[in-house]
Amino acid sequence: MLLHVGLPKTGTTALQNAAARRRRALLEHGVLYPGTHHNHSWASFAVARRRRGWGSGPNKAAVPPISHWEDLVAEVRAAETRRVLVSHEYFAEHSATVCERVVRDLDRDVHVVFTMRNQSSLLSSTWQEYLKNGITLDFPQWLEAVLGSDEDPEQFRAFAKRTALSDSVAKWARIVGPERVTVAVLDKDNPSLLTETFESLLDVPRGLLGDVELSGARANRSMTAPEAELVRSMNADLRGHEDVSWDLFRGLYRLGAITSMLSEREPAPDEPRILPPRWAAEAAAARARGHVEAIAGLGVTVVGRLDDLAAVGPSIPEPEPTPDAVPVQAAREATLGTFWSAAKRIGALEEQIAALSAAARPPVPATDGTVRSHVRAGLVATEGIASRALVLALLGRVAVRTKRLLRRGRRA
Amino acid sequence: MSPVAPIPAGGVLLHVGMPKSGTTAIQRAASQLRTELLEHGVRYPGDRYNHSLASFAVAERPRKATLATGHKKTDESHWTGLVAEVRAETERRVLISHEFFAEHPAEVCRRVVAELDREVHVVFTMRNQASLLASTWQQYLKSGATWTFDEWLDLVLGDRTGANHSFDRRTDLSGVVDKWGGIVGLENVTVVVLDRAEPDRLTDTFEDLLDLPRSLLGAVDLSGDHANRSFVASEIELLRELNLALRGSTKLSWSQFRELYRGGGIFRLLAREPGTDEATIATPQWAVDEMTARARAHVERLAASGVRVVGDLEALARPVRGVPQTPPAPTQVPLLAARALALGILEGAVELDAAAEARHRAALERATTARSVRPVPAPRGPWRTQVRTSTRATQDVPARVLAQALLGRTALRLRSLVDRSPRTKD
Repeated sequence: MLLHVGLPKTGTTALQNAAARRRRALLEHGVLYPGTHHNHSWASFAVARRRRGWGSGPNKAAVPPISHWEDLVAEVRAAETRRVLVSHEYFAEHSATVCERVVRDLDRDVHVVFTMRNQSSLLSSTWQEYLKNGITLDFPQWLEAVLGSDEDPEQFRAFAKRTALSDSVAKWARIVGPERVTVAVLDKDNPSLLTETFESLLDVPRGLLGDVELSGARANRSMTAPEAELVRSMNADLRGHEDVSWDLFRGLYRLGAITSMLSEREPAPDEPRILPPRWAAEAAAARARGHVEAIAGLGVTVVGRLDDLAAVGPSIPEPEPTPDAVPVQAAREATLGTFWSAAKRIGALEEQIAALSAAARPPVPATDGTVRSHVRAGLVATEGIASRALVLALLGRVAVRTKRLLRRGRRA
Repeated sequence: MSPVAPIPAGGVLLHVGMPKSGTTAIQRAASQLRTELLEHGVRYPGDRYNHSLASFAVAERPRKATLATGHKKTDESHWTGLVAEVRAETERRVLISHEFFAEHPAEVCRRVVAELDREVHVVFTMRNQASLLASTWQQYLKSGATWTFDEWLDLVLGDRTGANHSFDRRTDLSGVVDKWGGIVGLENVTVVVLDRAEPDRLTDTFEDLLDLPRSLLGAVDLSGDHANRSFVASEIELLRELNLALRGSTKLSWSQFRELYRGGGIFRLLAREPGTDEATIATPQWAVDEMTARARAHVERLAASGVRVVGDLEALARPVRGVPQTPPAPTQVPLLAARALALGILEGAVELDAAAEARHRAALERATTARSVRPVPAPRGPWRTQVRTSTRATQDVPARVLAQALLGRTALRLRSLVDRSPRTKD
């Protein structure tokens, strides 16, 4: 059993999409990729009792029902394949108690694999993830919040967890044993390292997960600086809007406006990108250095160069001024995305309404004073009441009425 | 401005247009001052800011946008309701205003006058025609058109025959005055020419015609009325791009489209105050010249007709400054404009969604309670309990209905027994 636990933004989506697309081919090679979704996020959220969406506020999201986890466990336990692959990028950061339960419930020989990448180059994409969830801090403000002091920022605990690389590895090594933990470090110069590692671990032919043509990959591209600023400026309104639930935020905005903007346009090469200022890149690298040393001492298997995690990636000397204009195309796609998703949502509701109206039972027929019409109306109006209940109910009423009459008679 | 004689007491002042020529200002002022107007002897009927629904209804003209599927028929009652309110007003003067009355076919105009059954005085407001081009094009884009300014100018002003575009009706100044003059009599028509140099002329004239104190209408502060501002060049390019993409594929009803697009997106977009340095829409010189030449012909015909004119007809055909060429469409839009448009549509979508959810809940409710009775299974347990549960489960059903049902069921059972019993042949 291979459990891919993250970390986020390390090519997990690409890998998961590939595994989902090749579900059948994997089976033929003795590997079960359970479920029907592209990854196992529902199960992961459910077992950790974690809200899927906003964790606080009046419009916070719901915790997915535990059945998502139970279903996954049942499928894994029933599997007759030699190997099973389960993947979600939050398993790495779940609490030790949850991780222990995961291993206990799965009841298999669990091998854990981490995918990691250069930490300083992760900053801008992590901030963008937060943007997609509705934060309103700009990039410099956010960097200050997460890197400015040594204390873990309350609001961005997830960031702290995700960058505490050695803590996550140590936690899992304690639970499954260091000999059952692999850390794969992504390498820009060797992009197939990720899939090759998984192919080896699962003992499937080279290229099975590698050469999948991935649609939707564009939706996962980075935002440009103007795009990010557009999203940020809209977040303030949407998070403060009392009618905007997580469901609507996600359905209309995140999967509507933002996804459409990212997937339906290709930014010009000269459109400003988001790069961290030098100080932040260095701070992230310095933190990573400590983790690299700790991981090296844990005795886990490492694929790739661990030192790459702590290299100082691309940066700019000073933060760029906030963009005050966006490409017309970006604005168009953001608007259109909302249109499409609204039309889809509302269209689906309208269809359900139409179906409900069509299926509604016909009304009780009108009566015209004849016994026949009254009897017919009575038959329709009481459809669904068992005859026995009908007789007894009449009997009961007669009894009540009689009792009342008797009592009144006695008093008189 | 020298005073204009008021219309007769009890008469109707029918403000028929032209579009984009001060109509919104008059309508906003009159609807805000509805109560004050009543005190001053003037009724502005209805409760909306203008009489568009009545105007659409009497002309049997559907409301639609290029982008929405289907269109909405305007209910006749909007017109008959207006007529009833006007007829019930026996003393005061009445003001009715909508910019499409000018262009309705003559038979519709005749019906309007006949059904109002009052002395009708028609007032036109008109403005410089060449300067109207940019805002008229924008108006079409608001309804979903996709022409560039150049394409549109070529369509309405270039060499063509029989295009019969609504633009023709809206700029046929002498034609519409002739038409209305023929119906109510030219002596009952006033043309007010707007002039930047004399901004009060519009409200002053209406005050005089309605015998109101000067500056009653003019005192209304319309500065917050952003809904009618012009778009800047980048905004209009964004809308045009949006229209191109939405064309023919919105699958939304007219009312949903309107709520999302006009009520949501465009309303919020226009609430933004553009910077003074933002490029506005410039009209190419050839179009200015062509439009001015057309206006000149109308000015001459209007002058010759002898209709009462307030202001200087010449202002309609005064040349304005054009540009040699339309500048290329902007590729960037202010972030705040993009944000406003996208947010407006999102908010519209959130509202539409809430409405659809509510209707869905109601439909669910109806589907489960379509008949008054919920299913009741045959009771179990001790006899007394059975009686009690049955009585309780059917407490909403009148005893009479229970009895009728029992009668019916017994009859059915008997009949089926009879049908099933073997018939012996003799």
